Amino acid sequence: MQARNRIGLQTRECWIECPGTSRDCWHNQTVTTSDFDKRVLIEQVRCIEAEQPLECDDRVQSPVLSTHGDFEHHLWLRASHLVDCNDLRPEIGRAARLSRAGSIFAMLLAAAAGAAGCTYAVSDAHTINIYWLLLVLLGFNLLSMLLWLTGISLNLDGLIAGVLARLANWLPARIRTKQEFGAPADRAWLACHFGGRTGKWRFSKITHQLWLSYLLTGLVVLTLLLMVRQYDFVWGTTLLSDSAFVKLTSAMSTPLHALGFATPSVAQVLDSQIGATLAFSAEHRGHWAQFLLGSLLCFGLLPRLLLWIWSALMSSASRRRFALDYYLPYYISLRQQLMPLAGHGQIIDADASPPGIVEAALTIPAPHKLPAGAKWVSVELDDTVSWPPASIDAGNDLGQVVDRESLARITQRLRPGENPVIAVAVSASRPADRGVQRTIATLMNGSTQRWFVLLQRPDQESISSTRLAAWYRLAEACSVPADHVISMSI
Amino acid sequence: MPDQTRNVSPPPIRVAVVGHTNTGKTSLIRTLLRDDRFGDVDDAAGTTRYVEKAPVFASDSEVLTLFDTPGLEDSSALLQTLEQLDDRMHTGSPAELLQAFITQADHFPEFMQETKVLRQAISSDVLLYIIDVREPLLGKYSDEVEILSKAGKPIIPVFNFIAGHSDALARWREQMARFNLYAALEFDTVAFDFEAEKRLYQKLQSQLERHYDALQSLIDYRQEVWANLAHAAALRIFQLLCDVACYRHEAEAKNGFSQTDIGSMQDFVRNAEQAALRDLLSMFAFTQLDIELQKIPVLDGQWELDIFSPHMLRTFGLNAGATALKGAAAGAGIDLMVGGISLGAAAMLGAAIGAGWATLRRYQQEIVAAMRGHKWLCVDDNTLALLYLRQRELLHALTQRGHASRNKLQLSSDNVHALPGQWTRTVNVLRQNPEWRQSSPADPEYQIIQDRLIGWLLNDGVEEA
Repeated sequence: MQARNRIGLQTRECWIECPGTSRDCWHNQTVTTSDFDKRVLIEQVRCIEAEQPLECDDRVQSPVLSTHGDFEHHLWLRASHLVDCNDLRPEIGRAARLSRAGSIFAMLLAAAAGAAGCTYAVSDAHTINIYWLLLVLLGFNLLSMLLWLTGISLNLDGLIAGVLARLANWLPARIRTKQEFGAPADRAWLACHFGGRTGKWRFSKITHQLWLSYLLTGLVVLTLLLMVRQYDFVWGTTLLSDSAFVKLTSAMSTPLHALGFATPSVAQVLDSQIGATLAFSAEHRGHWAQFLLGSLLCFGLLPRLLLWIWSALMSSASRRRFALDYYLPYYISLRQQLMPLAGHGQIIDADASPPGIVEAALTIPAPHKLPAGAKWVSVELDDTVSWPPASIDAGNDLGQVVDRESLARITQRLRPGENPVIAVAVSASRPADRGVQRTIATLMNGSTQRWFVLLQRPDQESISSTRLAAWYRLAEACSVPADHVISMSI
Repeated sequence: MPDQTRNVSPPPIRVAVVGHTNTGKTSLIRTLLRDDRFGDVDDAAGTTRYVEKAPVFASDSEVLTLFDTPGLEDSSALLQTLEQLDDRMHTGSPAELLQAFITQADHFPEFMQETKVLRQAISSDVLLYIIDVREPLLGKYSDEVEILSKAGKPIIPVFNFIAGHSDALARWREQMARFNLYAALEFDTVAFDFEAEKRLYQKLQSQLERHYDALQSLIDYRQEVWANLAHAAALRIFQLLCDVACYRHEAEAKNGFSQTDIGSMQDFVRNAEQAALRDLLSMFAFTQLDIELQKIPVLDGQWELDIFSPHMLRTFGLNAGATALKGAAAGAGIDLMVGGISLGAAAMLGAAIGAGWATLRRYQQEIVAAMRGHKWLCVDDNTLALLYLRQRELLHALTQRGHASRNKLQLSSDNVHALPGQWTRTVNVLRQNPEWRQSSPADPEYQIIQDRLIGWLLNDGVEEA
């Protein structure tokens, strides 16, 4: 059995011969491939083959690539072999490469947005509206988190995936029109990575990653600005009461305090309201700056980091659970080829008898009339025939052969020379085997006129020509002339 | 590459399939192998004149090796010969007697076929004794059992051709019981039943205790493969029904549809059914030679978009809502990128654009067609119903067809079975979603319809509670 380690990774057993070479090129090379990646490769090959069959040697259609392992292992070996045979590695890896490049670009973009957003919110002023800045940096982050949580809880694809999902849905449709190996491979890659449960958690992971990037650069830029510039922190409100901000600051300060951040006291909060005439002390500014940075860290970065870890874990779990749809005719057909339920037949004790002579077409001559006074014997009649029929004189009936004893008994009654005319009746529907032939030959042994009667019920299906021919051959073997073979309906 | 697994695997169980000539030994093996090319089958005695073996696998390991043997044709004479040989040689045990007979086989050329059977019986683990229950109870069959029992191997009588012969079956059971052969099995090689195949392996389990686990793995594996096969076949039929139900063709129809349009639609349905048939036959390892498919009469119906149907309203409402939210999410993303300066206005705009775009995209073709004065040609309800019933019949026939069957399956159009209760509603949903054709969307409604239709097909159209 194939060895698997705990994290579902498997070492590819590279023993098949490379096309166009005489050596086993992978013999000493080990490539670590996760089960998920193997399944993606199998799906990519499936999509390619759905559009254009891949050509290779006959081994890809038979179990010879591997003599052990489960169906998936066979599929993977076949897919790998086909990919190498057709030199498709660049096409197979294209979507992954593009995805990596896209991820890096998106991360850079998010980082730039974080830096720009922070710089814009702070601007060149020497006074920072603390809650406005927090709203810019954390408000939309919070809204996005709530949307994501709603989507995850209610399992709404649209909310979870958002723009990225729409892009992933749109991209394969555009790729579909291209007629090349890479297009179906890309489509399969996207469907595996961004479809279903796997896609849901992958999107989640990417979303959190982008927000982390945004917040982190925002935090860094803000820290730098606070280090090189002096800001006064103020707040103001038109609709809300002053106590609301005092309470909010106090509530937000509790976890920050626990994390070691210095936070403004109630007096300092009240002193920071727009319109207060007191001058800001360095301690005052320091407390607000730590409150601001701590809030970004505690209410922005930390939850995102936790959600990212959770999504990464769930993504990893969903990858492990990712299964191929073995109900597709493609896989059903491959299972029959790669892992047949049974092997082909092999003759191990051949027939040593001389080959049979091809029989000429059966010609049945017009039968002669059975002479009166013939002695009748029936052989192994089927259960539906009652013997003797009314048309036969009971005195001429010697009985039915059903076993060795009855054969011996009837043979004893057939003394040579005393029964010159004998008629042996059989069920035409039964097979004419060697045992019956021997029995009939024994019964006819002392007779000079041999008759053979094929019994058939009128309601019975017609006898096949093969079976009828077998009875005529049997009659011939028992020295019964063909015109002494008669059919009787009973 | 060295195969370590094979080295440690127990050797496969050797099963000799024996019996009188023309009882269906080769047919049984064909059915178990799902291979109609194994051996030779004919309506005459002595068709198989050699011993042929074939392996049966569970996943990657060979669990059984089946041996097809020539038919016993003259057991009475053979038994007499064995008795005479025993009188002459005074062998210690029946097995030794058989061995002595095999050693002297050259002296008995008339028993060349029987010698092959006995040689194989001695070297096998178990014997499957095939009985054609239509045959009368004759002395030669008792002689066969007596001879085979001398091999000292478990014998499992397998009753073949049992359909419609219950009285004969009872007589044969009684007959076998006289030889203490109670572990008999009913297995019709023509009218296949997977449960019967399972029982065959279970009988082997009961006779071969030390191979219990290997046989259980075989049962489990075959069960899984069979269930997968049935489900895959039902899924393929669903795809056919979905393709046909979702088919629509835009055409100018001021004076009714043209014959060209109707012909094109009919060809589509017929080709789709043929393609599905090819897949189904391939899945069950049959060929086109196994079936005769009459042309399905395809009628022209007119596809109309029932925009105010309760389903459509519900679907549309859901789609619009979901898309609006998607738009909102996209808008929020834009808000974020500009540092929140738009104060969420983009979110509102995104929602509106999202809903509008979804509507336009879904119904753009209908709107354009309506503006051009065109209509949609689609497959009518009767054709769809007929297609479903035919496919259901086909699936039923394929799952019950042995690979020894030599009669062609006949698929007719005059199907009188009732349609499932929710048929019309289900078809309407399919019709209203032409985009489902040739694709498997992740739409929950699609999944529900798929599961429902597969359930109907696998349960013979019976509604699930």
